Amino acid sequence: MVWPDGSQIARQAAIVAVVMLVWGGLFWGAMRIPGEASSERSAAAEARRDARRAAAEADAAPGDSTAPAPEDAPAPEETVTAQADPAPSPPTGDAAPAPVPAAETTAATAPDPEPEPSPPPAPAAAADDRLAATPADVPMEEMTLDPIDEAAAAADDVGEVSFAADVLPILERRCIKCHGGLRDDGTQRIEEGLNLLTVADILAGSTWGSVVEPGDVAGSYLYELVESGDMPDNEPRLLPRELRLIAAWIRQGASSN
Amino acid sequence: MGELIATVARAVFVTHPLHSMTVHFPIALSMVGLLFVVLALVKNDPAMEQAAFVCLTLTAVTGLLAAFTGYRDVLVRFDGEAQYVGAKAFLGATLILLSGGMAFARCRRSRLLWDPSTMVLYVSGFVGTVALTSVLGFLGGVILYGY
Repeated sequence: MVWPDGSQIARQAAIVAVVMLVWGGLFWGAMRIPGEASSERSAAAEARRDARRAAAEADAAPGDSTAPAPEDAPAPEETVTAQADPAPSPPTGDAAPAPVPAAETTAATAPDPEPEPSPPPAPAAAADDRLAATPADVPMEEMTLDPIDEAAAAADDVGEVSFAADVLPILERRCIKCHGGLRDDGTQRIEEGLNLLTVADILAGSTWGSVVEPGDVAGSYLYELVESGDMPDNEPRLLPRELRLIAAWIRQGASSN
Repeated sequence: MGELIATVARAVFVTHPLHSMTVHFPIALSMVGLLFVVLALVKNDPAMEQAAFVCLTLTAVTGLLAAFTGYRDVLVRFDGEAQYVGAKAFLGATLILLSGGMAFARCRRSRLLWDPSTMVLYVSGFVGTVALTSVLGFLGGVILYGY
């Protein structure tokens, strides 16, 4: 066998380099617009998670900012105060976030009847405030569609959704195994205290708080988890049409129909 | 019996994603093809080079099959909304063109690997097919399982 000499290697390497440059340029040009849109969507989702994480850490140590917050604990819902009946109490373990005093969090979200003048917040803080605020608090011109809002908007096209006929089959297929299903020994498996077998159980929430806010897709932690692909854990994501059905069910009031 | 056949047929053609069943062939074949090319060079063995050529040809054929099933799955299962679908289409088309083109060239000129003026190009093509199938497989994993 005759091996190529230096000039032959250089010539062929140059051809490979030129082909790769041309191909890379074509690929970059073709992918540029979707790539930017995708990164914006990822940034919006990341900002939402950061806001939840910050809210969870703040809730874990009310009045004591030096107390260590659980690193991996799921974030409780910041919209929990919207419920007349608060979410179930978290477990008594050290890693569990403390329950949120209703009066304190209500004051954080309810409009102040006599607002006092305050300096304008920093841009990052303003973004976090906007993420934590209810839709009614956000001026229309500042509203942008992130993936969850897009899904909620698309859910309008689904039509009337039945929990028993549309949503429960999805939950049974993808979620019940860990959240309400039976183990081999016949005992019920309820990971994180979340049972998804009935609407009442779903609305009761998980160990960490509410997971579905009827009428509020963006504020429903369950939807955020399945939309981001964090759940089902270590399994394929839910399909787009499954996400649309769940979003539509939440948007239509999460009723037991 | 008829019900069993209907159940299996439904599982294969409706419930199961076809792309996941077919996409592993071009991935494996491209990697084995590169392995055979390297072995052919190391051992100076024409039989290994012939095996690499067969793997390359099958990479193109099964890549075409994976492209069709991927197109079907993205429409049927993802409503055309799967992540990175544009990138995967671009990379998949490149893989088919590269492996098909190389197989065609090798068919016309059997000494591509042994000719010093084309050896680097030919081996680079195999490396390229492995790179493409690796990225395609990774993106497929991201679509199904996320990061």
